[in-house]
Amino acid sequence: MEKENLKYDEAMSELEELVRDMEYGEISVDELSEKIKRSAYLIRHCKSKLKSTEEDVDSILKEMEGGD
Amino acid sequence: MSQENSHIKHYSLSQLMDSISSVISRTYTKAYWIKAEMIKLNRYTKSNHCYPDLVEKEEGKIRAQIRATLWSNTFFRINAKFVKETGKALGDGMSILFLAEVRHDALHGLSLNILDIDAQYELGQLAKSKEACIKRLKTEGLFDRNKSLKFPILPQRIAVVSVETSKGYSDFVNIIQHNSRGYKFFHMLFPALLQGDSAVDSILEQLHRIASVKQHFDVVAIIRGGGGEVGLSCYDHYELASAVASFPLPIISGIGHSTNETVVEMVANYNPITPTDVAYFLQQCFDNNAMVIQKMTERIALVSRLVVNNGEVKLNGISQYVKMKVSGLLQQEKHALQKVQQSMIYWSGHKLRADQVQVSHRAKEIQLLASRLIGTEKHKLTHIESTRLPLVQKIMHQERKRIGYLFEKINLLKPENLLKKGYSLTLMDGKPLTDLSKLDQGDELLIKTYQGEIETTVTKIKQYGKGES
Repeated sequence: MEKENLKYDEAMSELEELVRDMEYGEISVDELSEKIKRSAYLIRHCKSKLKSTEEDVDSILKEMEGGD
Repeated sequence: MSQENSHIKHYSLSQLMDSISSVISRTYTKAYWIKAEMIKLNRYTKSNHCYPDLVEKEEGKIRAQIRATLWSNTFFRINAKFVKETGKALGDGMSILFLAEVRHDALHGLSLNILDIDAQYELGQLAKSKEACIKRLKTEGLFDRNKSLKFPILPQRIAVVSVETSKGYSDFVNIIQHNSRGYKFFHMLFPALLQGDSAVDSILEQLHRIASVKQHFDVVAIIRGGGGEVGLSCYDHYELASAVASFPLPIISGIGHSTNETVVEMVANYNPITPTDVAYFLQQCFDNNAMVIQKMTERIALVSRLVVNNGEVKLNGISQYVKMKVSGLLQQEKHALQKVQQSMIYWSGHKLRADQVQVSHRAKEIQLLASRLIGTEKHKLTHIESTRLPLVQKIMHQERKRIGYLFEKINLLKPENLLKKGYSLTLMDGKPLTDLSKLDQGDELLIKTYQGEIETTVTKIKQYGKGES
């Protein structure tokens, strides 16, 4: 799985849709394993987002100054 | 000409001014309540005396104006009262109702000396402008705009408008940086003045800067705290409120009032009021997310268990179904057979019994008839025996006797016996001779006697009753 830079809310809505599919859709055992893999990835991604962020004050300051 | 001028009646300036002063003091003997606009307070920091500029505007143009004096001790008294009652200090650009004496002196000219300023009037003014601000925002469709922005699911990056030294700010940062769950927030301080009229421009400037890098943030938080309730009327200003309302990111307000909600707080996306509550609210958002993720994990586990189980269950179900159906059918057939068997047993038993009964009945009947018949015959026989038998016996006896007689007779009639007696049998052509008419002389005759046969020839015939031939 390529490392996508999914935003938190995008990841969450994809996850929600996946889980709903699994719960209400008629899926085979094969499809299930695929979906579980993807949802596990999304869950890891979201969990990690809660505990980390990549924003940096200096770069933002630079950007503001550059803009002005 | 200068010579002529020195003879005109003239006064010195000071004489004129003093005269005017006395006229004025004689005419304006009391203090009067006056309504005007205080454009500038003009407070001198060293002495704390104020020299307000007062005007009255009509349709945007100045109709009247005058300078006023507000001595330091009066100023302090009035200001304290003002702050207490309106939360606002005396400042520039206020419409005031004030009590003043008319003054005139040679040095400073005409002025008003302010003795008091009505706080209630100011309150009314403030309330009026607040109402006007709200109305304007509503008319312009701005009032709900920030509230209608979708609050981010994960409000992780926060632009904080605050003062570094503010207790509210430090409380806020403390909570979000040292949360027990290990959540990571990113915040950046945009320093601004947070109270008094100059706060308006200061905050506006920071909002502008934030807007230029808004892609780096999820929400804006205006944090103020620990400074009491003074100077909050800036948050009722139209410029500030409309900037907040129309801001492209959701704004959370934590400016810490305790009485009236300011317009900025009304138009902000969310207003937890105190800085600590803002921090807890953000933390709660993270908690909600953690919970949702946890729920997802559980739902997935459940679903996968179910799907696997479902497969198993389906298979089981099918085999169970087949088993059940088969055993059901078997049961049915067994049952049917049993029923047939039973009914056969019953009916055949019944029939047998019935037949049996019939048979025994018949047998009895037959027995009865037979025994009756036998009885009758027996009876007959006995009857015969008793009646017929002696008769029969008698008859038999008689017959026996007859037979005996006959036998004797026969015996007697036996040719041998006759022959013995000397009789003979005459045969002609092998046949016994009975008819003499058929006899002629010379016919050969055979005579059988007891001792033997005699062959003879007829010499003479005598037929009894006829004569001789």
